Amino acid sequence: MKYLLNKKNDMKKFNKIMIFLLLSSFALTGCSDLLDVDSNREVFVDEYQLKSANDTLYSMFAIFSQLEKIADSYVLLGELRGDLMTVTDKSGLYLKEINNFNISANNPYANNIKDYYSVINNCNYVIHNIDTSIVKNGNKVMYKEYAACKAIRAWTYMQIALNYGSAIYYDKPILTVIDAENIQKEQAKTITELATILIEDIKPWKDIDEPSLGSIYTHYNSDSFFPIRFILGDLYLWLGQYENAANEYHDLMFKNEYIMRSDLKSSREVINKAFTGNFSVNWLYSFNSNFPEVITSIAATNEYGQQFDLDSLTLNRMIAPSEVAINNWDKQMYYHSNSLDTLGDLRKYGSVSVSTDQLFDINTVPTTNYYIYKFILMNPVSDTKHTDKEIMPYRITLLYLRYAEAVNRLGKPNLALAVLKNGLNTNSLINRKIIPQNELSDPLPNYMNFSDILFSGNIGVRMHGCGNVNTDTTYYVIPKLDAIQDSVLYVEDLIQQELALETAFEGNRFHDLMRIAIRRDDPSYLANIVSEKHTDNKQVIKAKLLDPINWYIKK
Amino acid sequence: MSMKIINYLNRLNMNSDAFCFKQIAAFSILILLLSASSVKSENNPADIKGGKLITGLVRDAHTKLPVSAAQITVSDKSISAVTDEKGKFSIKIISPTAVLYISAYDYNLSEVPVRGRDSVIIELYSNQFSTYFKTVEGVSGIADNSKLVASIKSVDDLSQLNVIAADEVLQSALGADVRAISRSGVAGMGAALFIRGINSLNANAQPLFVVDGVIWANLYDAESIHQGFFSNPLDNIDVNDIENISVIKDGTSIYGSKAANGVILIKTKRARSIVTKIGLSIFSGITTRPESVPMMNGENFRIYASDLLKSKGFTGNDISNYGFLETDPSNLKTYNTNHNVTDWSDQVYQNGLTNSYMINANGGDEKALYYFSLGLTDNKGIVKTTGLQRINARFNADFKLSDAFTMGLNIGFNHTERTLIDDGISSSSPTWISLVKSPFLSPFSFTTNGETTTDFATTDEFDTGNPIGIIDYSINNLKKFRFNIGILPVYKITPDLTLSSQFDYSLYKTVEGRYVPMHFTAVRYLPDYGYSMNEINSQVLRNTAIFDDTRLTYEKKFDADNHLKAILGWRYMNNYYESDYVEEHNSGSNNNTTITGAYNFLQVSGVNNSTRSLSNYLNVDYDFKNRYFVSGAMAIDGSSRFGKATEGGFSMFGQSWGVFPAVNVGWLVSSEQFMKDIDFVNFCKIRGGYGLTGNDGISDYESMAYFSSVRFMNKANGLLLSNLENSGVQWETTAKTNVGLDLSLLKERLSFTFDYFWSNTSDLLVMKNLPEVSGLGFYWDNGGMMKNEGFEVAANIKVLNFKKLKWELGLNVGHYQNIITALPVSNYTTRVFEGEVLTAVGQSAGVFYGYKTNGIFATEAQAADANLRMLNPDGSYTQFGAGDVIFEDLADKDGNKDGIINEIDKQVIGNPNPDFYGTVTSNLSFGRFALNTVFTYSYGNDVYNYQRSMLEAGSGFNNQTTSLLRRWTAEGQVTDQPKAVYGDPMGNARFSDRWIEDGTYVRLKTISLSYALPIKSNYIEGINIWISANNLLTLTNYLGSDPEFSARNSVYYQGVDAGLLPQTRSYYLGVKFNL
Repeated sequence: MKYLLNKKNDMKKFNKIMIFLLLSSFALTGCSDLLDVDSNREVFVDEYQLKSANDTLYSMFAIFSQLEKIADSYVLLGELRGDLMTVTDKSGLYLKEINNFNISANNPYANNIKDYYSVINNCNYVIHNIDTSIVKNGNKVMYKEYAACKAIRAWTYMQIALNYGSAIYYDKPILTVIDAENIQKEQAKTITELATILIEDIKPWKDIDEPSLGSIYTHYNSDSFFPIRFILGDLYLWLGQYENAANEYHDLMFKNEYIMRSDLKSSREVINKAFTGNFSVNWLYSFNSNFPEVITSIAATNEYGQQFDLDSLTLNRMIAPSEVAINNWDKQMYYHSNSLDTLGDLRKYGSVSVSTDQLFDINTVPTTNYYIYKFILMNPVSDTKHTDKEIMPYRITLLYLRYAEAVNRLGKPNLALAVLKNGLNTNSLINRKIIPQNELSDPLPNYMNFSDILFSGNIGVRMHGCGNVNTDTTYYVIPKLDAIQDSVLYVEDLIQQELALETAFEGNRFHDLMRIAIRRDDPSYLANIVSEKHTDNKQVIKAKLLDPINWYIKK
Repeated sequence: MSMKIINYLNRLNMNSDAFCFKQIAAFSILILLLSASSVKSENNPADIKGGKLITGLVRDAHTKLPVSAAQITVSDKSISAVTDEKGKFSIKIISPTAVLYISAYDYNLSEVPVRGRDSVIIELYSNQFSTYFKTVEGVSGIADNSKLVASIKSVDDLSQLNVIAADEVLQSALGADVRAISRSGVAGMGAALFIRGINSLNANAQPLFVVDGVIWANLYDAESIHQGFFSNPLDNIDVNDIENISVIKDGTSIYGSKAANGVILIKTKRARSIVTKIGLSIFSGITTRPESVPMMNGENFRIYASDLLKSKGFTGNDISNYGFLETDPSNLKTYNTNHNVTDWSDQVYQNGLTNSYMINANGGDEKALYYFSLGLTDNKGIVKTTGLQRINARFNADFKLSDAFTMGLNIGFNHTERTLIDDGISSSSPTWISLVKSPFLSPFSFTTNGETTTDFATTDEFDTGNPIGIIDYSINNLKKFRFNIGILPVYKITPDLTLSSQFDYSLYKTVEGRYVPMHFTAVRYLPDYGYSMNEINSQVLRNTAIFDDTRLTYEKKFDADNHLKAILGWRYMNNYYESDYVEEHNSGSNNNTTITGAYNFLQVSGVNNSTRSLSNYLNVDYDFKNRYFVSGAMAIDGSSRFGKATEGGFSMFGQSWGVFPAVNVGWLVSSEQFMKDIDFVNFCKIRGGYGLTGNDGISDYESMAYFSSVRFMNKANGLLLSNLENSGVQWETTAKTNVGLDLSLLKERLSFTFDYFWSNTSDLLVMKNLPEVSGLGFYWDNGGMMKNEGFEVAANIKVLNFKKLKWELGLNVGHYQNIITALPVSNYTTRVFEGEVLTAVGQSAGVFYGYKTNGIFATEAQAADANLRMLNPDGSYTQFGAGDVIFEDLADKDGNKDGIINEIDKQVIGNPNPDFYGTVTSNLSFGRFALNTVFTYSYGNDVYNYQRSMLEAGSGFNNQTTSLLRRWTAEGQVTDQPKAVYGDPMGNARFSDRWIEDGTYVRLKTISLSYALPIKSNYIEGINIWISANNLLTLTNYLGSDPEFSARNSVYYQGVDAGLLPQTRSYYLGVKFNL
């Protein structure tokens, strides 16, 4: 009854409510944030705009964490495909695949190309979004991060192109699946195409300082950056622009005060003009992150489970130094004086060892079962809680050797030899016996300017393990050759050999051989050197490597 | 008509705002048309206006004696009559096809169609039988079962249950309608539930839980830190509080993008009248220890272990280092340590005990009705020290604020504390260790004089822990808390139109702590970290949800022939789920059991997921002449999980919306006049329906580009781009078609329900590889199709109907076939423990993929003949020899058999989906006694016996089953068990059909006997005493301890026996008072 009485009213009310509800429903849905969600754990793109230094810090650490993922690949692909590292009967299939240039699609050390692009894409995000106009204390502070990301990106691109033959270049961050699919379809670029683009990309920023992020445990974050000049030098080397390369390497030495220190020499004790059998191993400090030899290191700790396997691979004897590598050291002449020399480069001690926790005695010379001790030297901290680990893509000695490679190809083999033997210092430069007149010009090119007092103590690379080689006039000299070009080739071989003695197992070997072979347009150069370590199937490997297609990993 | 419009709507889905508005317009037209049609029928009242008087007799189906005081009504309950003492009545009906509703004390409800007759004889059955004629909770509220057009089954007799969680009821009560697979023997662990096959691969495949109108988060992917334990949301409800449970298998489109896996509606009790009633329910029961699979005894194990040492290449001196081979009793300590007879299962198991007390009161006055309950459950598990204590309370009230305005209030509270222990195959699981630990060892250590001590022995020389040490020192607890408050204002705007809103806030939280002790568990090597002596874990899960469902309900009976019920509603959900997990190792002592941050290998992880969804829905039920039923539903859903530009939806207001229409029709054939003379058919209804539903079980934020935190070194935090925006990611769409028949024959002695269904799920969520330039691995995208086809049959026979003795039999059969019909990616496999599951076009979901075997090479000559080889990790090949398993070498695509056993020789070796499953029930009553029996069965499902694959691998120093006594040991020996070799270099124990078994079983799930005490007093309305037993008998050829288990909720883990605690026999005694 009550309802009936109110019916008219109710109908009105009903109509009103109905209209209200219909409207409100769509009004609600129209309220676009009704279905928008937030997260305390994830950070969405529109919230992460890199407007402050802290933001870029987070990105830098993320990029470092991604570099960790390619560290093992960098070393294993660089060395197992070279002549100095080899596999053992304990090596798994995948390591053997790399060793035999027969890499399958699911090889974990080679199927991680996405990890390289992860570095690149995260760098792109910073480069694209960072606000470089922020000024603090009169400095445009954000340029440092900007430049650092460009450098890391360029180095990573170089690794993709060198390992896989080509890389897809893009410079805007991929944030959507559609973008990813479109960019994937683009034509990949070879190392020469890429080098041109990358040089243009990073060259304007080569004078920007690296960001300073302090240190974490024993790792100096400044070591995590790649100097733009080093990368520029490398890219110029790949392009054959040797003067540009030499200038960049030189300027980096000068600007960052990278010198060849005399205290990194290992030497044999001499008493009464005879070797006592004792020796010092100062060269090992090269791999101590507290020592200013390192330029760039990729660091990781296993406390959070980061895979960084080089030390355990060597401890488990899944990788080992090749006989070629051991012989390299053993057959070098250690020169003390005119009347006192012996065979054996002391850099063997530390590069390899027969024991997992200490160096072997010089008098008990083993012939087999070597470990790669460098990988253990490169673990700065190891306690019950964690092991910190590093690899070193760039260090000062490598910079000097690259410089030598560049100036040698500028027709200055004696200058290049001085890097190895005498040291790049004023004394060497003014000594015409070391650098003959024909390698000088007036004015002196920038890359030959070592007159600064900074360089006065520079020693030759070879003095790290071969004694007073700077005073040797018998063994380590350029023989008389018909043409300057022959001398250049001779010294280039010496540099290649020096790289093996000094930087074995550090990851640069295969690309170094590739670069020389390409430069000489002679695949057999690489094929001969690499196949030397293969005993069972030397001819097969050699035949394979005569075709440069097999220098690259098939995707 | 409505279907046409719906199709039209679908065609319009073109991601354009212009079209959206057309859709809204079309949507409004639909509403208008529907209401217009009803208005029209209002103007044209049905043919008979005056009505007709019919007479009838109501009598007992057995005695044929008249039933007096039976109430007869027609379907709108407006006209009624009552039988006289001769059982006779007369009633005036308006339509000749009216249906009479008869209710009488002690009898079941019955519905009798008049079919144009002038007089009817109605026979009633005792309410000790079950009946089809009842009201059922459907998607649009309570409705007569006889008028439902969707496929819905309900259970409302939950009076004598010995279970702790509601999903355990589903299996025995609705065994063919829900394939409920009990997870393990731990109390209240619940079941994995699958309705009508498998409707998703990677998203949630579990049904939607709707409790008192509120959608619950089912937490299907929430993982516990306790191994082998599941979080089960349904154990937050005391089964005694449940009024009824409905399983809705089709016609669920009103739930839009959430209902592809079916819907389970749970309704809790409310007061129905102002009379105060008090109920008290108590039960107590014991659960027996499980029977172990037959393991080798100590001496056999000693021989086995020394054989294994030899296979390891050990000789004289090496072997003598092992204490278990000590033969000299004068070496007191070593000899005594290794010469014991220990039944390790005694150390681990106990008989379980469950006590449950529950009191409820309901009543009220004209202004308010209330229902209040308080329950206490206490369980001692069958593994020592485990158990649970649960307290739950519920307060449901209904306030009548005015004639037009009522308010409902629901408050639920649950607090559960569990003591758990790791279960399944794990070095910290005492149940597992009790199987594999050598029987000649002792739980206690020995002094140098060879005297036993009371100190627990530490991890033995086989690297096996000490189960009682683990039980004593480990900490495994879980505290769970759920609270919800709901209000339900209902405003009757007009007698026909109601505005109501169901609002609910819930808070769910679990806090878990776990400590795995040192010394008594084996030291484990954690890859990339180091060695772990002990482990501490902690996890907090939190889920808060705000839910609102506001609806306008228009219900109108225009005349005797036209009845309309329409619901227009908006459902909004805001769910926040957080989990925080911490793990640490090597605390140094069994006294340091809490997380400090100072120990080794600290790992921290978690999620914070916000989900918001909105559904606009319309449901129209139309009933014409009580015989023709149409039900149409449509939901338009938006969710924060959907991409902004999905293919299957339309765009509006910057969001993507999915449209889910459905139509179901029913025809009550038995009410037709032409059925007048077909007496043996009492009831016949044909149903059919087609509808779309969705599955929004996409991970949160999947559609958005975001950065996640990563660690650099051990200190610095970085933000790494970890997901790309995928604006196309959307719900999975399931199109369901159903035809059904409900039949009651021979004076209701026989009733059948038959449903045939086929469904097609498209837009399956699958993992796709991202292009490598993105730097990321994979993303979730839609694509691929899967179909399910099957039937459900329920038959119910009233076998005996005597005065005292009544017997009713029920048979329920479910069947489905699931086939994946398309995948947007190539076929893929998923690793499941040591096994592999294939997802491939043309196969069912979850099929096992491994090697086929053909016995064991008895001789070297036979092996050399076969020349089967295997690739070693170092690149060389090894030939399978005598005593190795003969794996089947499949021909490659060129038809060549290469003789190398590798990946390409894998094939489908089993299907975990059953051919048939269901229940057989029997209800026998004799006077005040009732004996109810439920058998459950599953036929034709394959099982991957992961536990057995570990117990018969013959590759390590774990004790093995007695089948290892048959292991190949000598040239020429013909056997089915390969040789035991340390480390199994030839992979004889690899995932193969050796571990696939037929999981067919029949189980006497429950048998219960109850007695209603003949007490009638002013204070006591009734007392029931019952005894019951569970799992008394299981018939199966399955070799594991229990053929029913569910390793995880994921589709890929179905039919995988992970060695969880089996269900064992249990016996209960209960009493129930009604005051």
